[in-house]
Amino acid sequence: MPFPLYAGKEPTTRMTVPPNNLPFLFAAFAVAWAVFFIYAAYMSWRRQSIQRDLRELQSTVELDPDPDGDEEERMGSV
Amino acid sequence: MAAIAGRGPTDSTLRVVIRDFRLWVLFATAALTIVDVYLIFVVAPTDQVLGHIQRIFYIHVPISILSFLGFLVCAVAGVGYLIRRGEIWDRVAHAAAEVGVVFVTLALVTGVIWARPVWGVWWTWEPRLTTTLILWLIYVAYLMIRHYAPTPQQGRAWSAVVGIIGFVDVPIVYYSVQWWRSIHPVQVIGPEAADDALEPIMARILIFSLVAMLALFAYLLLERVALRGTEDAVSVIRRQGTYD
Amino acid sequence: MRLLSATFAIAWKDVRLEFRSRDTIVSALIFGLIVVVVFNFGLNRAPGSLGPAAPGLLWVAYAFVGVLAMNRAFARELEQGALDGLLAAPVSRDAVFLGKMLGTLAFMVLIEAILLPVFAVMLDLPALSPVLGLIILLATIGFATVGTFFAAIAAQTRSREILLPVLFFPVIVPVIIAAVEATALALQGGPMLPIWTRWLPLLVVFDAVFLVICPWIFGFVFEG
Repeated sequence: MPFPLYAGKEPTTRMTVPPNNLPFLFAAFAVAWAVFFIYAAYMSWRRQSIQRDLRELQSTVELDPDPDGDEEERMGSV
Repeated sequence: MAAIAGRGPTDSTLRVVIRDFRLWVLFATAALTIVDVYLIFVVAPTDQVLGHIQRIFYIHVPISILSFLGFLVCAVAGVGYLIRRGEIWDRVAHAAAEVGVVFVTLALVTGVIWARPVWGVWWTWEPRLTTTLILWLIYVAYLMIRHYAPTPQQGRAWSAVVGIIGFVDVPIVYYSVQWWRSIHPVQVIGPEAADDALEPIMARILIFSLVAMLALFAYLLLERVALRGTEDAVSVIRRQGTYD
Repeated sequence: MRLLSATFAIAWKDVRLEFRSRDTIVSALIFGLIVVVVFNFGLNRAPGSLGPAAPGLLWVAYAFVGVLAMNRAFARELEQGALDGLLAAPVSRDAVFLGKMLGTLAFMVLIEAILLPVFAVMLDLPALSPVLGLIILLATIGFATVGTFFAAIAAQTRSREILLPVLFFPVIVPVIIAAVEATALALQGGPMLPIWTRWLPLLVVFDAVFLVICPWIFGFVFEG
């Protein structure tokens, strides 16, 4: 039995010739890598866009001589 | 602003170190993955019984193991947050849970794709698949709870306690499902197979695959922690801007 | 000692409240009945009794009724800031948790006891066995412990009706499995050994684990 975790009695007796199941193999790998790539790319993209926001906000807050003044309006526009 | 300004220089150095480290992990992940693909598709022998589909095994098993690692990290960081109260604990817990949910989702998807050609069904209530599905449900609820919390502080505390309860529940769920299945066996699945039956070359490739996936896991986790840090910094400034 | 008296005071308060109003108890009973009737149409395709599905049906009904009861237990505390008063009382969080949990447990056991003979008639079960009583008690302790904890979280959100079942059901899966299997064995009258070697110990372990963990982290639920 070459396959420990999901080894089944039924398949070993039923399938004597290695079956052609390449499409399933490629589907599994394609889905896994696509999900990982999209997840990583999304996080990276979102972090960069937020960092841009952050720099903008920081400069707005720090440049404002009167933080109790009309800050709210400018925050709203960001 | 206090939260940001108060961090001081050591924190920003730390952040540069983390950023550089993240890049190194990314390079390592890419290199290991390329070698891994070569090993899986070229070096690994084709299974005589199951055919090429058996190669899913080399990613399915590491993905499942690493999803458990994610939930372990989540629970430990949750305890850390409740004791130490640093926001970094909460960030790590949240990131680990989210990466864990991505991994556990893929474990389910690859498991389903495995089941169809090998067992002739898409889904079967096999103990591991069933436990994985329940894990998925628990940790999706974990991710939901943060959004329902009225304040961020409540969100952090609630997430921590739900993460702890969920993780404690995992072994109980696993054993109960295992016993349940031993009474009502699924026709196509045999009982626990002997683990020593794996061919040595297959075992070695599996371990390599696990290392490659671990690097990927670490990269995603670091990226997610960094993203949460940036998100938090923005929301702190926004709140200051709105309420000052 | 103070812990115990505070616990019982809180539990007794909830039980008395329940009996004064009686609206939850009636709606919970009717709801349990409705679950069985509706599932009957889903499962009972051939004429006759539900047979092997009966224990599962019993526990699905109990779990649904339990969620209803637990949602009520903390929703009531939110009216007119009662929860703040409860938390401000000079008793430990453990007592608050155990008191709410005991109140919920008493309420659920009462409903289950009333529903059991009704289900026994409708599902054609030989329901009067002491073992079944023990199974129901242990499983309900598990329900009430985890459920009270999650209800305390869910009650503080706007969408408590959906959040409680989403949190509750995945965690409670081992209790459902153990209760259904043990009930099936008890009702078959066949070999009872697995009840004692497997399912009741599983229930006891689940109850013990969460009776330790839930009071321990209950205080964090009321932060912020």
